[in-house]
Amino acid sequence: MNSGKNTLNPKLWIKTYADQLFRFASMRINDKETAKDLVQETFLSALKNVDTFKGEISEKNWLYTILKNKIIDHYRKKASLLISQSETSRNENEYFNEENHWLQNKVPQEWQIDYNSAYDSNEFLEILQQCMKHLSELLNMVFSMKYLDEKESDEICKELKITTSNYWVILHRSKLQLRDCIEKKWFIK
Amino acid sequence: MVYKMKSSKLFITCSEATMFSIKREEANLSFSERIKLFIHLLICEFCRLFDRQHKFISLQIKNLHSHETLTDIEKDQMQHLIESAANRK
Repeated sequence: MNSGKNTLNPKLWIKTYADQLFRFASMRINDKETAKDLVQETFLSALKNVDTFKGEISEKNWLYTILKNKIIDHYRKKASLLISQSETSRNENEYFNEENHWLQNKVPQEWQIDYNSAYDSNEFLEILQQCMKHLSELLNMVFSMKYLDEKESDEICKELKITTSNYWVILHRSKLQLRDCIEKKWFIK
Repeated sequence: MVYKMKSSKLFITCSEATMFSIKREEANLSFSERIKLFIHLLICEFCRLFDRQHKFISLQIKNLHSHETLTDIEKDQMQHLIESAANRK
């Protein structure tokens, strides 16, 4: 039983946590270099704030909290810029015709799997990951917050300072793009 | 006015139906929207496929994990940076 308070051991941070924090960041950020920078900034700002560590949570959770905040800050800075570049406006017309029905080359195909079963395929996950990397930065941001961090829509809108209708347009587009990408990579070889 | 027209029609387009499918995941549909989606999915096999597949993708995302690591050189550089920052303190 650990009755004492949690302590910090900055000398071992890199060795113990660098890779896992990096993996966490690189799942959420397309660019590897940016992910690495955020991990580095996490250690630096942790070091600056060692005095504020009260020992109530573990060293690991404390570092994760700092990294999560760094990622949100990064997202927020990017989001306003990306939205203003009107990325959301050239929306679904890649998938639907003037009558808003599926374009012929974008029509969903039957995947021949049981969609409700606990389908277990490393190949599928590999492709899913690749396709997520292909999402544009804004789409990937919203997508990661929703599906990796399991945040609610109002929380995401608040954190990224986007409107609800922007949020749904972004999510709609991400799902359309992701589904199409998976289908083309996995099923139609 | 335009919005009212849109919300009063019983048949929705594939673009709207796929959007409704996604919103439903967060229980974000009104009763009439649920009905409209239900009707659309009855008659449109493509949107029915989309509906199943996008839910499937949502489930699969939870199984994702990254295997990426930093190189030893990158970690050494970080270690130096932290140490020199610690010494400055």
